[in-house]
Amino acid sequence: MTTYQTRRGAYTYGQAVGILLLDAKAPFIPGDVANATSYDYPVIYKTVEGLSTSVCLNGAPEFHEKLAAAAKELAREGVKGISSDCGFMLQFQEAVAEAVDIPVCMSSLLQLPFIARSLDPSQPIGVITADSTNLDEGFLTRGGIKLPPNPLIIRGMQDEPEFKTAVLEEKGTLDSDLITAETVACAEKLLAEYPTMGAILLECSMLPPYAKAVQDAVGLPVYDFISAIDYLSAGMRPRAYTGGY
Amino acid sequence: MPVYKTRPAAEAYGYCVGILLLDYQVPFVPGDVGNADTYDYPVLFKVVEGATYPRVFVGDPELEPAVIEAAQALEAQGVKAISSDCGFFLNYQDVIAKAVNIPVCASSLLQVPFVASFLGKSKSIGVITADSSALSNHMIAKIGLDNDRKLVIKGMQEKPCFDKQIMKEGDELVTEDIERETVEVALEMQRENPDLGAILLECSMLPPYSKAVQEATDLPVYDFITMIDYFQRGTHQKAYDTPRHYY
Repeated sequence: MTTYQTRRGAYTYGQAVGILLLDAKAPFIPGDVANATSYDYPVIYKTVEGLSTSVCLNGAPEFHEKLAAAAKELAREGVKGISSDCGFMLQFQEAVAEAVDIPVCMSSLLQLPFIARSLDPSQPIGVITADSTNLDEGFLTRGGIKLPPNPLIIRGMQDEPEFKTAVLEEKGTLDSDLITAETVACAEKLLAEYPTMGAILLECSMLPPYAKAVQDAVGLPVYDFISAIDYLSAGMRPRAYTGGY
Repeated sequence: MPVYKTRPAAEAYGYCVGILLLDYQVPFVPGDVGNADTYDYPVLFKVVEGATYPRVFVGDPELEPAVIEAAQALEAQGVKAISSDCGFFLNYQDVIAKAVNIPVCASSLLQVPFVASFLGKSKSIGVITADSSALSNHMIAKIGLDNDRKLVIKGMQEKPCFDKQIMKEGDELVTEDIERETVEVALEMQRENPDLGAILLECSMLPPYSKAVQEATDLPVYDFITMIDYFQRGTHQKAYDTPRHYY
């Protein structure tokens, strides 16, 4: 017999990951971090009011406490891990990890040292981000990331017309065919310039829908926000093995 | 129209991850790295000739050519990433990564810094290994964990069933025995380290017991399979084919 206790503050149970969201309005399509069908397990979302995309990308230390409080609320509801829908939330990784007792992966960028370890140090890693004007090695270091020896080539989507208007300017519609073409072109250019590139990391939470197209085009390992969240959740959802031997 | 090229060294196609195996014979139960039914995708195994575990534990440099040859043979067969069935293959991680053009995750221990990055600064990370006496300072340095993160290591080598059935290559493996011993070690680790934030199982024969360890400790538990799944994922991106109106 297994006895379960009421979790005070919880209205539902079984939520695997709690995801803190930017205060942003755009269509979050299947594959997006903020689309619930992107996962093989249930997730629960919580918007951080006032934390717009541009505020987050430009750095928002005044939001540390608000993020920590939101994460605590998600933890009280019983989630087993905390994540977010913006790689730039790396700036809140420490504040949130200190606030809760469950594992926290606020940013896709936390994968960088792990990805680098699987490659030879001479192989460049391409990072495709929403906004390369705000993402540099200093930002990664301040966020607690130990820079790998591999060259990091950071490219942004901020000047791509559909990505810019749909994601950064929130025009209210999103054409996924156009963003596929824009993301694939960015990746192909990266590979053309750095033929020994070992892997590509998609920073932005709105890019995982295009990860497969990027991989099909360049034939490299491609990591994204969903691969980080899947890994985070794997530690709290160990499998029962029933196969043969 | 896609055009596919023959891969001259390939006997068959579609293998996702290639796994280097110790020269070692015990029953690999479901959940073990050396059990093909552990995975949701096809894997290709290759025994590294002469790779007995005492040699891999110390990183015998004379074994390097055989390790590289086996890894390159797997790559030539078309696998998209390479792993192994012993965390002590960490000793060969760098030479394999240099020798092939696909991602290499030869050791479960590579996950330690990644998992640590999920935890608050005051939390420690625990490693349960087959043999803690063999996990040298040299190897611990290779893990690449920040110096200010507390690392706790415990071995299974003094547990009688693990010693008899696994270390001494017994003919029989009783999963209830190994599960009980692994949970004992994990609970002892948690008792001694109230700041423990996550557990990593180093040994490729321990993933069958991750679930029991997680349930007993209520901590996140990572193992060889969580790592192999991760690299499979990165080398095999999925289509989100949910109907368009699910947005």
